[in-house]
Amino acid sequence: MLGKLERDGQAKIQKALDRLRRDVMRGISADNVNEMLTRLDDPEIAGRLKDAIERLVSEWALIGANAGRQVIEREVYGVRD
Amino acid sequence: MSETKQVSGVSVDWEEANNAAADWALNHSNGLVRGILETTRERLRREIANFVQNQESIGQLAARLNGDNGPFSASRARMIAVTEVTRSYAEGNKVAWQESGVIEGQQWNTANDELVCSICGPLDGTQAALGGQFDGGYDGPPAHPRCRCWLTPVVMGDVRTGAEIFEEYGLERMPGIGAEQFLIPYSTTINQNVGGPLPLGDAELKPITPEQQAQTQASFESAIARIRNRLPDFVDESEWQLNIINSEDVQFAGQMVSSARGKYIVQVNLSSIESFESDGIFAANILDVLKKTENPDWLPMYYARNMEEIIVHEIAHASQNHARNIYGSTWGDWGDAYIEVMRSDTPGAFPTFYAQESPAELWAETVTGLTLDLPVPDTVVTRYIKKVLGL
Repeated sequence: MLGKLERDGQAKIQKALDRLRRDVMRGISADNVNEMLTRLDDPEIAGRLKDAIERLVSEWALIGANAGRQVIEREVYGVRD
Repeated sequence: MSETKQVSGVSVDWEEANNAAADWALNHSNGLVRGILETTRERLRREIANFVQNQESIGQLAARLNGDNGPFSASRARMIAVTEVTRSYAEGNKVAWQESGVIEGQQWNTANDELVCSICGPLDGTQAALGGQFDGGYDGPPAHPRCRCWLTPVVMGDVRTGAEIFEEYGLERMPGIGAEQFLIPYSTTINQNVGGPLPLGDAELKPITPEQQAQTQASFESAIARIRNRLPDFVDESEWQLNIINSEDVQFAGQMVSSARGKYIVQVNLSSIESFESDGIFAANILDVLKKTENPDWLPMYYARNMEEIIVHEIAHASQNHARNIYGSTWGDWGDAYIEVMRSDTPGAFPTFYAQESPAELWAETVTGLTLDLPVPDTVVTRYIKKVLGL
């Protein structure tokens, strides 16, 4: 299951990085190349990445908690699937 | 909340585990995003310096940023995903195990193949206390970027034998020494917040009259007498406390608060027991059970129905620790036997209501039934009680 999560996760992280790349590189030329660094401090750009990462990490942690619960129920409390 | 939860001495609030996992994710993602942005900044700074120094075109700069090892590349996305899935999954596991109250340890697992690195190889199969650290100071996977290890729960069971406990308390175990000498005297407290599996939180507590206190103490002493007469060896040598509360805001009727080995607190809630006794829940549930089975040999396991019986049930939870110490069985043994009973299709073998909830509840209800001379399914006695005691 972790393999599938990793594959799905890679696709979603890639999407978030692509979005960051577009935000950072939009309208960049030789004259304003340093602006790319400034844009990383833009709360809107950083916020979009933060939202995406937070969603993913929450999703994976909840999947982990659910898997932990199932192990306890199955092995200790004897709940049948 | 169902009556199953109301009388339970052991309860697991999985919602709490989900909340803890979400809290962890929120805290962790803040740091993770800072790290991703910081690394991106460093890579951009380096590439911009190259761009200026080598008088490149913007196309060349963009190609490098988008390239195989660039800050926006697929390889970076994979590295972050593998590392963070490993970390988040392990943390989610841990909060659920923590919430269960029955898991005391964790084991590190690797894929055990040729890809396992020199950091994780030695950790494979090693164990640490839940919340503790593994060799090398690791809290759990990932031990490094791209780490793919995972944890499994460990039920460690009791680490102290009965002999060690008796030595600690300066006692020598003799036949029949349990309840008679150590349950009395006990202390009584009123509306005290003593914690436990189902804590009071900010519940509103109503006053308790001297009559109510006297009645509850009489039930407690009667329950003790029953235990002492029927199962004199089955109660731990401990300090005992009866905590009487009266609140409509909490859902349990009784619970065993095992604050530490050597002290047990039986906590009863007058409000819940009053409605429990008067609502006809017992009758309704028996009818419900009878609808589900046409087998005349089937025996419904439903024993703790009033104040005294609920107290017997809660004391039975304490007897479980004693039984584990004396007979050396671990939680794993109890879980295996419990699962066997629950999976059995033998008539009368499927306990109902809160006896189903966990090995601890099956034990407490069975001991309650035996103590009260109520019919107990033979399968439960032979496949569970005798098995966990190794008889």
